[in-house]
Amino acid sequence: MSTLVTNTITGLSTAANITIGSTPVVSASANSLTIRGEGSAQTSVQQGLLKAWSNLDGSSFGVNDSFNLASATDDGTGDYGLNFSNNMANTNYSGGGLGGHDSGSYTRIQGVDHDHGLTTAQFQINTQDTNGNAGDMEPTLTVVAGDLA
Amino acid sequence: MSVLELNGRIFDASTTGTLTLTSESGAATTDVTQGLNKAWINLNGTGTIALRDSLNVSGVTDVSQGKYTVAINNDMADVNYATVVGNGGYNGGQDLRFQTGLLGNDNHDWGNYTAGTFQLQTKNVANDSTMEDGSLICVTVSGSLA
Repeated sequence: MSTLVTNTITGLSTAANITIGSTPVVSASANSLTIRGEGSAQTSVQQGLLKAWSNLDGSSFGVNDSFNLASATDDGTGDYGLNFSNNMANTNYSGGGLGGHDSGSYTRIQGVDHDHGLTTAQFQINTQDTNGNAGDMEPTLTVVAGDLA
Repeated sequence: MSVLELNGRIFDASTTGTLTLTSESGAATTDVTQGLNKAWINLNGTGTIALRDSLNVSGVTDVSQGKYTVAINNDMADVNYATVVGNGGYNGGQDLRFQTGLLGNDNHDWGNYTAGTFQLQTKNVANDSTMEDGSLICVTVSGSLA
């Protein structure tokens, strides 16, 4: 295999386009990168990437693993704060989560705490049982998509 | 072989529509294309509904109270994609009464779950599961693009 050592690759036909194998990689503007999807459409790499995720033990409390999470706080039963390392660009980001409780068939649901909402630096989640009672969730699995600052 | 190596990390695009990257440990490879979300929304589903932000969504239709149709811009390859849903809480305290799920037809028929659209329904689980509009409805979509 031959190795090309360089800092910048510029497309020959179009400066912003290169192709790796048969995968077009396009950077049409600053901080924008798209690649060919499974079919023929292009898809945004930055927009498609999760910007944060966490696997939280909400009972004994601790972050088992995470991405772009500076810390998490246990603010009460079924009440957790997730603090980003690198903040989001705005409060219009998306995401979701799921989890359970103990080893039995106890269902838990999670959502964004209305009283705190989404901020660029953190968001507060609440977890509860199916009867509407606040309850710890273990594990608490959460993903965040959107624009980084 | 069609690869790009950056500091020991290898992007391999030898197969059409597939871009793999060596993993965090370097021991495995992960599929960048498959790992990307192909769509996501942050929707205000109350009043005149409005997308606060989104990826690869051409629009959301307010079908009726608590019921929405999401139109994907560049369609998925099939109906076997995955979604994760998130909701905002209700005013005051730790109240998660509004819950959103995917909406199927009767008898577990997912005929309205297509490559180009999917439907959502939001219910108030604290009020006999009546259909209600949700002020914060988030959905991420993973799977293969057409």
